[in-house]
Amino acid sequence: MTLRRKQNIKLAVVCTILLLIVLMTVLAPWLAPYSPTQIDMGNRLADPCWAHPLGTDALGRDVLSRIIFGGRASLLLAVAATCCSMGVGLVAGVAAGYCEGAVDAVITGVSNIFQGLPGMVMMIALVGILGSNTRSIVLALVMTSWVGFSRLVRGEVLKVKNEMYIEGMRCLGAGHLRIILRHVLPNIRTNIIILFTTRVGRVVLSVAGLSYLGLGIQPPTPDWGEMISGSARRYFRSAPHLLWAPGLCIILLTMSINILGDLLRDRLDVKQDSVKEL
Amino acid sequence: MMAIVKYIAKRLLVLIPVLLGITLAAFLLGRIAPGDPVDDALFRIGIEFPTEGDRAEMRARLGLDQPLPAQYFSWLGRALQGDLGRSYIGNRDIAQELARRLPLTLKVSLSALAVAVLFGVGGGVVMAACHGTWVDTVLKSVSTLLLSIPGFWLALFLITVFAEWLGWLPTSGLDRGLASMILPAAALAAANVGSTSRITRGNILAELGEQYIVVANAKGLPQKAVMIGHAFRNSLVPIITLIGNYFGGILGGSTIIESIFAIPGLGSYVLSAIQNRDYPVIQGYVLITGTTFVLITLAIDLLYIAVNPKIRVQGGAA
Amino acid sequence: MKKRTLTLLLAVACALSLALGGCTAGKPTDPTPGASAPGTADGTSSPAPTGSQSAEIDQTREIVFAASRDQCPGEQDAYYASMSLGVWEPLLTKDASGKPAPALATAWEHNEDSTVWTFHLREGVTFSNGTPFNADIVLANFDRMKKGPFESSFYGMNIESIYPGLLSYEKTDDYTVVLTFEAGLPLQDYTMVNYGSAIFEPSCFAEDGNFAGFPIGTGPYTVTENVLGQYCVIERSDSYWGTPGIAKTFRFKVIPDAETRYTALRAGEVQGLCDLGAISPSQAAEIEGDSAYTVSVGDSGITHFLNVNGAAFPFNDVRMRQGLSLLIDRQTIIDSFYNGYGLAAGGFLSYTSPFFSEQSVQHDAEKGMDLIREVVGDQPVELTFLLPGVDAKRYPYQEEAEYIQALLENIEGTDIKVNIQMMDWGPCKDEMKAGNYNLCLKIQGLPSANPFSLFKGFMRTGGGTNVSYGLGYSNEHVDALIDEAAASLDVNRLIEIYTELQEISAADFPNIPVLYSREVVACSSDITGYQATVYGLTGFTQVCWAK
Repeated sequence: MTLRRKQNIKLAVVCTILLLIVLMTVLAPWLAPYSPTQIDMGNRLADPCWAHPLGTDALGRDVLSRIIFGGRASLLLAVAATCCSMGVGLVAGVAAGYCEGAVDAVITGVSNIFQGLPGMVMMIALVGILGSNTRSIVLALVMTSWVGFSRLVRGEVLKVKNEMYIEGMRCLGAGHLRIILRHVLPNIRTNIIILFTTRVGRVVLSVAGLSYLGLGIQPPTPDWGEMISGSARRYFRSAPHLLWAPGLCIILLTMSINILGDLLRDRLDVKQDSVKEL
Repeated sequence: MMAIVKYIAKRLLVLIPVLLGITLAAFLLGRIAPGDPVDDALFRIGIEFPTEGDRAEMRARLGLDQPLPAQYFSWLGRALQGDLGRSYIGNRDIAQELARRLPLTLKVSLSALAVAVLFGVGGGVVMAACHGTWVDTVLKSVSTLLLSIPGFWLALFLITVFAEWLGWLPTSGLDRGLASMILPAAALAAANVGSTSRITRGNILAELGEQYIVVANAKGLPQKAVMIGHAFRNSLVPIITLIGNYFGGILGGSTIIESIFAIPGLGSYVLSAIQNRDYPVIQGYVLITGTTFVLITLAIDLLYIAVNPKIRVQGGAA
Repeated sequence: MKKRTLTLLLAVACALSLALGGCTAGKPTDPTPGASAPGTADGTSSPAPTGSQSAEIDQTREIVFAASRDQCPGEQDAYYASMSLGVWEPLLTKDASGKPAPALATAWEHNEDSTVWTFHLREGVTFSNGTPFNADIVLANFDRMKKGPFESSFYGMNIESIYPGLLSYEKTDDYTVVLTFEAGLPLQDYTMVNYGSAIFEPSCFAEDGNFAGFPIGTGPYTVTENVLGQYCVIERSDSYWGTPGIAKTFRFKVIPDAETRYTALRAGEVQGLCDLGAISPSQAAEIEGDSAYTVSVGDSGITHFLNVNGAAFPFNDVRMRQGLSLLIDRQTIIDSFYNGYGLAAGGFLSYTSPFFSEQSVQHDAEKGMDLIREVVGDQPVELTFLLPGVDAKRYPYQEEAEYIQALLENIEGTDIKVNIQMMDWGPCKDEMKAGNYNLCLKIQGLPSANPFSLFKGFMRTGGGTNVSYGLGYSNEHVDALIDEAAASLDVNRLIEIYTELQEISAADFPNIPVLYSREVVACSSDITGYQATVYGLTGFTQVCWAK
């Protein structure tokens, strides 16, 4: 099976890259040559050199150190927000699929409403109105992405539930919770994992988009999204490294996540359209 | 036939609470804000240092002195008659303003859609046809790359390369016709091209595995064309869904792109409204785009039935 | 302040082409604020440096400018077009020192208690549609103003704030208009400058006082095309009473994104960038030495303030405010982030105000740190630093805030933590008003040449901005001075009061002035005559193709 082998290699490469990125952010305090917030007004916008391999920014801070620290906020926020969306989606989806009837109707109705609201605008509006702190960013991300999870889960629950053996188990007197935990969730695990991966990638980009509007992660916390969209844009001709380096990091991160999602899909043999990349 | 009519009727019936929900969400969005737009409105008419009396008067003029439910129902009632009120800032008729800007956003969105369909579906077909070759690998990598670039960053890059360095296309604005549309459409569609092409490719390949292709082959038609042709037609349904969903998404997602490319459409309008807390504008915008999205979804559902009679009643999807 | 003298000279050279026989005779109120530079006496008419070399150059080609907002916000705007386009003209404009100067009114005087003001109008002026300008026109404009208030993206038009307590407006002959007020207004001419006394041909108004189509003014240009949010086009009017424009048509594009706007200039799509925040200082620095572009720096009425929450610890302690003011190195901020385009600010009032009195700027980091240490000690202190979104896009506020943050966090022996928060202006103002902040960078312009409302708003206990910005400033002596100014009819006493208020502002710091802004604009060297200036009626009349 050469195809399988090729995929294995790819998977290994992508996982290594992601692992390295995660390690880099975790070990940032030990890896970074300088403090990411140490300003040096005498050495502003320096070109890359030995002391500063990626130069310095408008306040004389070391760009390399900021990049090493810069994945933290984005990654943490993306994973946290996606976990929350997944949690909400799981509960809502299981409730809707398992209970059916009125509960299902209400949950489906609500998710239809949420799906009808323009996502990016809702995010900007919520963060813009509530103020840009982690709480409102997570809230906005959850509100605009739980529906994807809930729909997926509901569909799968319905499918699993209709299969005979659960009926049988109900006859045997198994509790609802037990059925959900033991039999429903394991069945939808693969789809959830794939949706989770793609969502994390998209959330990183969405937060970068918020940063473009000044609503993302607040300075001086080093963050890739902020670094490519904030004040660095003003200097991008005279100091292009300010944009390229963090930009490449973001692309590398989201691309690895996307490829990981693809590989998982192939690997776990999930039909393509059952996980919509919304 | 009856079944279809019944199905459509049922879909329309379900639509009513959803639309109501969107109006409620739109209304509440403007009201959860902790602040007060009264001072801004006063500033705009030259009262920079207002008294409490000025504030009370303006609050009454803006209708903010009523209880919430009353505000909602009067707003909804007027909205149903096509009156979305006047903006706090500039005191303009919102419905008129939205109508004036909608064509511009539609122009960009449709261009982006065209790009997404042309390159997304086209790319997907090419990838499927060249399945396993280097062309497939390269295109697949490009589509993943397109999915992974922040939109505003791509816009910046495109402007620098095509407007400043090469001078082929204008940086912004709408006054150069089709040329003006290319960059915004490309920036807006990039991510969609990425996902559409991947899904198209996946669907065609899945279809290729099915039985009737063998039959087509047996008829002796040129092999490849038949395969792709048949498989493509049968994989159209999920592609239509996807593109439909994206179109709704583009309508609401062009905010940042519009402001970068200086396109005074709906997106840049709502962006400045959010920045200025111009509630009625935000409400009107969410109402319009939300309704449009729901209607597009409905249209897609109906298209489903037209394209693939097999689905019919029970399979009607979301 | 050496740059200033230079610009003043430049301004004199090009700004007063309007004067053409206009004079300030009979102008009784002539305050002499400390700021007026020598040689800028109003009324001296110097021939404008019109492009005499332009004989063979084709000036009918369209010149394109880009700005961040509509230069013609349209029929719903109180003025339809920005004054700088030269479509309409006011009765009074201002000269290089910010004092009232003649425009459509050539002279004016008031009675003893300044309740009756008489304006003598310029004769021989016609509107672009041929209608002659006279006293009836002015009265019709007052009729229209009474239908307001009208909103504007420049300055709101509210007859009650521009002409407070106006009892009557009437003509005594075809070229004399008399305004009668309830109470004395010794500085009324200052309030009326530019936007305060815009004049239009009455037939361009709709029934409700908005515009019924393109505006008709007396200026050197007329609007010929306007697509909201995209562009507007103005064309030279051949019947202009003053020195006419050189170039035939201008197009003003709207490009809100600063980066895109700058790229449009570099790509040659537009010839110039105009209006507020036309070009960011770092971008200007990039093209400053490039002969393909011209960067022009002019005066600006805008002051950058570091507003502080004086109602809450630690900025309720004047030593903290003084300490921070001493700690920040204004010149470093200006040189590093503003590319030198600015002047270190010591006092509250902008240097372009006719009532400006220079306050020395002190920088002594050691002393500043000592003062701050005295106030906060070694207890942990968390400060919230707000950055309003709109301004943060226009100015390098993020860098500036991070610089100030680093200064505060690195004071030895203290434990200060600064959280920077970027917010849209709406929520930002709410937070300030509620007192949920400690520091906020914000610009303040000069709403009119009369600074009274500024002093009252910021410094008076319970003043509008004092409350809405949560400054929590209260000083009995200041209150007494402002109340006295409100009732005073003596211009010289007013000048004394305004000077004293500025001295107090530089010691007691209701808020901390950081720098006086300078207007930076840029254009391609394909065109010439484009200057950043806040004075006069020249508008774009001097701007033309260079080749």
